[in-house]
Amino acid sequence: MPTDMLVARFIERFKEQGGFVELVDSWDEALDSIAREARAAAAPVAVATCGEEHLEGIRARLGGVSRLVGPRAPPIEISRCGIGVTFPIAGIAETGSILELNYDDSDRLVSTLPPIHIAYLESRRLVGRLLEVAPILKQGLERGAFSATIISGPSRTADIELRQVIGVHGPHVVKILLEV
Amino acid sequence: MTVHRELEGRVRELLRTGPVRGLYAAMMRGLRGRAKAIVEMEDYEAFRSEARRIKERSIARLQELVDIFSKNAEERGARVYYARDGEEAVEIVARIVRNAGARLVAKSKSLTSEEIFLNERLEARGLEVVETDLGERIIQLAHERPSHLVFPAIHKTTEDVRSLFSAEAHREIGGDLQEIMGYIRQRLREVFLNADVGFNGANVGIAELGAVVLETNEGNGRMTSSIPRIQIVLIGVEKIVEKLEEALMLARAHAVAATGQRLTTYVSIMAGRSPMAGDASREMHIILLDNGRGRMLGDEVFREALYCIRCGACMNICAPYSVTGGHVFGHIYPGPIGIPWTANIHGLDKAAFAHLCISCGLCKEVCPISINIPLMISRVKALLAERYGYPYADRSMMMYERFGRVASQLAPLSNWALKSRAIRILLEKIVGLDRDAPIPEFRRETFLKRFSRVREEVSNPQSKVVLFLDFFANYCRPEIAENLVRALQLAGVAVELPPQLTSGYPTISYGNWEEAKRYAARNIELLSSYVEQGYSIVSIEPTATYALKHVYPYLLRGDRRAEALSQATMEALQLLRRLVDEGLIAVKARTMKRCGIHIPCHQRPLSGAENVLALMRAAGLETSIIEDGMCCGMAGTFGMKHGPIGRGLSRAMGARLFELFKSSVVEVIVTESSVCTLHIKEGAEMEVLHPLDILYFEKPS
Ligand code: SF4
Ligand code: SF4
Repeated sequence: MPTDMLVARFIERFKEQGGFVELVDSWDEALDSIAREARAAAAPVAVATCGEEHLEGIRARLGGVSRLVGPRAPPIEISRCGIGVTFPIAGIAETGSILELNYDDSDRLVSTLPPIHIAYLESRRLVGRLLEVAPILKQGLERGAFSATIISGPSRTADIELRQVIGVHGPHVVKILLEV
Repeated sequence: MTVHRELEGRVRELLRTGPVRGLYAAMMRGLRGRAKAIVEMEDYEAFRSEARRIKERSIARLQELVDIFSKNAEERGARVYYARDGEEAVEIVARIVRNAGARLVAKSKSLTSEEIFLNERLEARGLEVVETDLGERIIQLAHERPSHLVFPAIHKTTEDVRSLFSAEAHREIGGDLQEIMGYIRQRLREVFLNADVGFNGANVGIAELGAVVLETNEGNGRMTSSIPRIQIVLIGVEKIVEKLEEALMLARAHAVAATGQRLTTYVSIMAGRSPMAGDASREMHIILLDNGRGRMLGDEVFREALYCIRCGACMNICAPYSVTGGHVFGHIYPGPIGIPWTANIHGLDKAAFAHLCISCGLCKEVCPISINIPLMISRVKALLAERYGYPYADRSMMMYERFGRVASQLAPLSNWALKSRAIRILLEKIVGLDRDAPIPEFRRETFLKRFSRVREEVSNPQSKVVLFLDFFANYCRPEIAENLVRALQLAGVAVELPPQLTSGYPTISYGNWEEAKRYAARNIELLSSYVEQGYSIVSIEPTATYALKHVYPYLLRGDRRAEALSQATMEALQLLRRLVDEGLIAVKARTMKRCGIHIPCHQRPLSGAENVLALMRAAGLETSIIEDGMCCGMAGTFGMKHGPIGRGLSRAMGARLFELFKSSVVEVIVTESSVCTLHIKEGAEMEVLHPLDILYFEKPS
């Protein structure tokens, strides 16, 4: 599938599932967006395991705006954060999902405990079909990840009278900063 | 017949109080979601076949995969246990918790844990177990059992939930849904952060990675499996597949069939215990549970139950379940697939709710793994009969063929007698035929007798067919068969009507396998020589077509003639449509009334409404399909039986469809099934006709 179709399908499906997508044209622009959200949330920001460049970027941009928690922070600290920032290894157009590799269980909590989950994803990481993430996932497990999570929108339930409620235990907002 | 009688009592009570609240809406939500998700997939049937193949090959290698899984999981730092039964599994869990000096277990939804009564047994050992899935938590606080697989607390109102949580919190929780959610989020977050042990089930195990897959929508499973220092996973051995790709396929199949999601919101793949905030001293324990699965593996019928991926789609389409709910139509495992599972895991007596199955066959059609649930249920009924004998009405209903023969020989006297109230009361008492159940009129001249007058010699036939009549077209409505034969002959088709029995499907419905096999074997004997000579078998009654095509090959596995008969069998309207399309005959309508089609259940895996719609539209009729997504509830002779497990339940199942017809603009209802005709005519109080009553065929001008 051509890249623009992949991007379009991914966005359409992820949104249909209650997620948000913001297009950014660089990591720098993504940082602006994270900083804006952090200012609005007025709460600490948790960050998952990521490369030095990303970590440095966030640290620099959030200085004076919000306290940065993590990577590899204890659960109680992550639970006090208003935003969790993660770096998915892939996006799946077919199912409108992102794939996260977790090197520490705190990484999973970054996209679980805070009410807002922001994921930074480069469009080159998009794949068409679900099965295409299998090799990526296996490689991740071989290289030190302990688990992986495929996330397809915000936490939800319809357990009471079938009324859909978003954000039960997990985040009620999942926003992808998609670099195109 | 104590188990049957006890069940009867429960159904009678339910019929008095009305169907389980909210259940139908939940089922329809699942079904509609599934339908929408399927449309989006490129080739769902190919996907479904692949999903089935995955389960077939995994179950065929079960023991080997258990070994590979265990080895790989241990290499990744998990501790793996094999529990032969529930008691052993509970003991392992209790030991792990005790050794950790823990008291609080945070648990995420796991049907397998319910199978072994884990909560009760741990609580009896002084441990506190907190369910963290919202629906399960509601059920836990109410001390009840789930009534639906996906929506366990569907029978509870917001008000019920509010008072349960208020009682737990020792304060008034507001009735507003958001406030309830706020409470549950805060309450369970304390549990997540403080529990020493997290417990979860698993949807799939991946042998090559030694990993487990956990799907949750709420996100609670992510917390129970990550925050507590000790993680315990309980997984049935049947859930292990070899490869990650297979696991992903099953996760997709599960979500699509269960709720119509593309994937469950969170699909976690966990391979070994991860450190938390750098602390690597954490533990992962995986308990592989047998608890009767090994036995099922060795049973050629029940082995297929191990293919189940617990999506719950089968219960979403089950009409008797829609009325009775999981508390009556279920033990621990609810719904259609709950029947074979219960019989094998919790004992045959607990599976007596098999008697509620009306053998409509729809559960198999909706199952993402195409599991032949109806025939497994029939087998459970057969085992129940071995233990307790057949319920007396079932026994009589299985003698339908003899009844038809005698009633036809004695017609019109028999018709007069069957209209007499006194005789009907007597029949109700003696054979269990409900005094108010509609039964058809019988003809003295059956179609088998009439055929020689209708048959014409066709020179240079365009094709040759054998007519398979079944009960109704022979004993009650020979004119339908006559219309068909005349149309076929007009198109140049040679028609034969050799001696034959009816399909024998009621013996399957009531679980008499010996008799069902006899019917199958005899019909095969009578028809095979024609099949070998290249005749097609044209069947009028959808249930009979279904039996010939799908049931006989299953009953007589390995019999090539059964396969050949199945291949050669086609629906009457399918052939008529083809002949019309080929321009050999033209179709006309005798009426111009607005028609509403009812699709009989057994026709769904055949052509559905495709042929009837095409023919009626070609005849210029305004036609639409009216359906409530399930069986109309008649189910052969089921709706004729006296009592709650019979006419009582049958009428309750039909109520929704009757209303749909009544409130539609339709002037006449059209269906190919004889028994649906009787049922809907009575329930909807409208005219119901066979397509061959409405359509006639001419030489094209
Ligand atoms: S065959 Fe029909 S009635 Fe029986 S369990 Fe399946 S869906 Fe329900
Ligand atoms: S039997 Fe089929 S439809 Fe029913 S729960 Fe299992 S997989 Fe789903």
